[in-house]
Amino acid sequence: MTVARADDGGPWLLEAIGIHKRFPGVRALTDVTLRLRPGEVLALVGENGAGKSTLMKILAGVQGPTEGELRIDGKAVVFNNVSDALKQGVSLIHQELNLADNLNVGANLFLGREPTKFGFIDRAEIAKQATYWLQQVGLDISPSTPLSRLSIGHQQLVEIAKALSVNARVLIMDEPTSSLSAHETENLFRVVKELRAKGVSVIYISHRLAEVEELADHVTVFRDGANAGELDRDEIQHEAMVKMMVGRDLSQFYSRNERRAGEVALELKQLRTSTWPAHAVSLQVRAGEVVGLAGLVGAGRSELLRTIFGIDRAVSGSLEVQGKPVRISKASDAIRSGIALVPEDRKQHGLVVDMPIDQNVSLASLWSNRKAGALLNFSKERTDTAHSIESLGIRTPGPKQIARYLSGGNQQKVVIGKWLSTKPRILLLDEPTRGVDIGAKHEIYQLMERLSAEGVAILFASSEMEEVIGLSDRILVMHEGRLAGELSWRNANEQSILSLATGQHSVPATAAPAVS
Amino acid sequence: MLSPSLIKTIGVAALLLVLCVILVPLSEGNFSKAENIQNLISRTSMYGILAIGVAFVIMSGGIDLSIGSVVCLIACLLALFLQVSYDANDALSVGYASQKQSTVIVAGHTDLFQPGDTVRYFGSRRARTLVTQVSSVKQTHGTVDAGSDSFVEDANVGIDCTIVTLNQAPSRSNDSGMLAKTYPVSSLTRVLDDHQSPIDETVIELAGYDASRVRVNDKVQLIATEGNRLKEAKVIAVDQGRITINQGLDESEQAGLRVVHTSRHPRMSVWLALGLVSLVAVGLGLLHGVLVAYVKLQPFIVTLCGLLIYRGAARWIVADQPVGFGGEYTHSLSLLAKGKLQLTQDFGLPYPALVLLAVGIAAAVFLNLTVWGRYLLAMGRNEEAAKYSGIRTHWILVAAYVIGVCLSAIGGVLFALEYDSVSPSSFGNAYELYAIAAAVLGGCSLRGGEGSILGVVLGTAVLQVLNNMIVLAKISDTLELAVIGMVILLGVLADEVGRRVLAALRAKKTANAPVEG
Repeated sequence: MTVARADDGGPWLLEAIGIHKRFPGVRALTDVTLRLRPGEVLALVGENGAGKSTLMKILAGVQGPTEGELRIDGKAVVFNNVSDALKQGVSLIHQELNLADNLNVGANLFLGREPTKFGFIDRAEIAKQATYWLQQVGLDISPSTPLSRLSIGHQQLVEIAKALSVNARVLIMDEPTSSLSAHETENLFRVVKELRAKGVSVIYISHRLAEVEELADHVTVFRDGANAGELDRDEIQHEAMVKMMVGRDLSQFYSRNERRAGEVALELKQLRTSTWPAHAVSLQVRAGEVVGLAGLVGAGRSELLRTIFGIDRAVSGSLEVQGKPVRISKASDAIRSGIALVPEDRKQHGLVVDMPIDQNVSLASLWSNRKAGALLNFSKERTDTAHSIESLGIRTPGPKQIARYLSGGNQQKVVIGKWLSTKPRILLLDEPTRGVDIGAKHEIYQLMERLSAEGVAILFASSEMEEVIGLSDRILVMHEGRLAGELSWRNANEQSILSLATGQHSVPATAAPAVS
Repeated sequence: MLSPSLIKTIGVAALLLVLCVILVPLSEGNFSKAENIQNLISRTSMYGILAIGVAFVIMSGGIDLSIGSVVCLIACLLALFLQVSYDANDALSVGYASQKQSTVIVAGHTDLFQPGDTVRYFGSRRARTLVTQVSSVKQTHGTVDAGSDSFVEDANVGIDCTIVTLNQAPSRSNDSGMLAKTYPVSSLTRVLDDHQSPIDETVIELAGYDASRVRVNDKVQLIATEGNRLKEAKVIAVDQGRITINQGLDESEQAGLRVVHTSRHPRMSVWLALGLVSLVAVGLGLLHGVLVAYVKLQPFIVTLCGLLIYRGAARWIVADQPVGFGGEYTHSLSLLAKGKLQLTQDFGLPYPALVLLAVGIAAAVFLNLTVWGRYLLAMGRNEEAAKYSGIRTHWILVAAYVIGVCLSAIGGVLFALEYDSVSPSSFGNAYELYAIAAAVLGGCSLRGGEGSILGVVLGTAVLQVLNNMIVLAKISDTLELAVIGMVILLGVLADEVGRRVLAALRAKKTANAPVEG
């Protein structure tokens, strides 16, 4: 098996050869090669943190490579900025759309390069051209429609139309379907296929392997910032991709010991979050149980976890911990009740990145460990940090290392160490392995396993299907702020989760946890 | 590994040392004179307290522009609260004085003045006083005819009043003023020291005046009849009718010497005044903190408005007139700013340095050894992460602003006592900029979450030494601000360059190291 796509003489539209990218403390890419033919949909797959987004930013001129060469039509090019890449016809459609909400569709399409007449913006010309480009992506809307009135799916098509209007030959789509409904996804696929027929190449990044199977002409797999394999059209299969992405068999990756759920540790009764006040959520998590929260981006998983933890205010409903009602209006209330939250955004919410490891580890338990009055307990800080570094395997020169200079995985372990120092009985994790390399990911899984064996109740949200299926005893699927259904790990698969997550049908939540 | 703020502290300490070493020869020895050093220490201490205050706010991720105005407001309030008035005893206010008739009219019927009494009349418009004898007193009823400058007795018109006719006419007709009875000095003894040489104290006894009415710290007006010379003296002791005053008088001066006793009326006690200004400071700090933390206004805006409001309020409260302590409290409260702890013959440590020491130690302990200090640093660096760690960030933020304003207030009290007089329109102008500059120079990052108390004090010292240098090295003082600005800019530049070099070295090191999980 060749690891990188071999150079069979082309013709190649775009080549990235021997790319290295280093950040302080992290090697994001190591000798990566990617080749793209004209009129081809190339899927780039890999786990979070495999380096896909970094390579895409290099291809689109957002960042430069530390080493390596880019070629367009076989000729070496250097992209110093995004407009260099645009001139060569390479356009990146961002995960978070880059459109101006306050303008209409036409103005967005020609933002920064408005056609003018006598120095004034030529609105008639904009309307004429915009209508043409919107047709190209199958959008039958007026260019004067305010952008804010369009659905996310349509906004994405506007962005594609915008890219095409500057003669894009290579469209890079980073997780384009992550927030689309099933219908919108279908529509996007149709547009992508039409573009391919017109000779436009697409680099398609997705976690949804089923989409890749349907759409891709070729698959390039990354793992840990390096090439992990290539699959041609006839080889593209779910199993094969996963194997290359993970580098080992899934069955080994998620070890599953027999779990015995204890008493109910956490119970939500008709809890309404401020983001989705229309839907009341009720659920239970038992001691020693691992419950996964699945759903699309924006389904309300993070908001639910934040509300339980007291960061967001609950609109109504109540919470019981160990069978006793508790009132949680701020994070310190939750901590006192034995709840911990490893938040989704590690750098913004999990860590104070400019403080050393030890000060991060102790931050949530300073008050309960204080000495006389409000004095810091330095010896407790030292032992807790030493214990975290030891038991979580944080790789660092020492406990005084500034958290910023740790790799993503080690940073996440520091966050987990902080929360384990509070001795929680209920652990909430939000995307615990996002941006974490494969080794650390495995360690985090083992840790969750160990904690549940010690009787900690775990409720975690994740967008990675395999993770949710592999770790959970039960899977709660959310759709637009409500619990769309519950699946036991025995009968859960990507298909069943996805159909619940996209709101296609609803499975009645089972009353009792499905753990033997 | 040295922490960044420790490196900065060492850097600013080195800068201070270099400046001092340069200054000794440059100033031809004037720099190292005890008086100059004492002065420097005193100023550094006062500005240092302000800088520590603003450092807390900066470490919380905010800024405080209102320091100078808070200093001014607190100084004005303190001067106002501590105002002392002296009211003449055995004196009545005068309703009218007639030059033509040689009379002064006192409202109501009184028998305080008798013919033969020597009285002092002083008008309200002029300080000019008249000391003379009463020739007659008449209780009557009537009214003033201003046109003819005379008092017309009329049982049906006007008011009850007492006409006091004087041996000498008032210099002009006045519509008000005071008439006070004077008492002769019956005995006068100059106080001698252990070597029998006279000192500036005298013991006097008064004839016809109840000495038990005299209290220590009251004042007496000493009137020598010859030439109407007037002296004021303070009472420093009262013992069985014998009054000791702080003026050296010779026995020869006793003849004809008369006294008006004035009682001291402080508006309130020193402790109450300090309590009230503390209350004001805490209140303003709470206001700033609540507006920033709960209402989510930007610190810059809140404290900019504070700067304007407090300055305006201070000017209004004292009617834009300079206020001061008028020589009161020189042996009590003022010592806090002007006193020295004499260490050697020549050199004494100014008391403000002790205040700074106390404030600095308390601040350093709070910041480095308490949970709250750690919370403040964490919040300053990443408020969200602090919130997610269960820290009640609003409270910490409010506390930072309260500490900031309270330290400004302590500074304000010291500055007011040091200068004795407060002009509300200029007092404390731009002090916030000196404080912020010192904090930044001392290692505080305006991004928040970083800084050391020692560094801030050293930063203040650097600014004061620079200021001193401009005077001593005879650099044109119009350049003062420019020089200070440039030094701060260079300091911050050096810090930034150092930071980047360090980051580059680190990146190189990690890039060559194997990638870790």
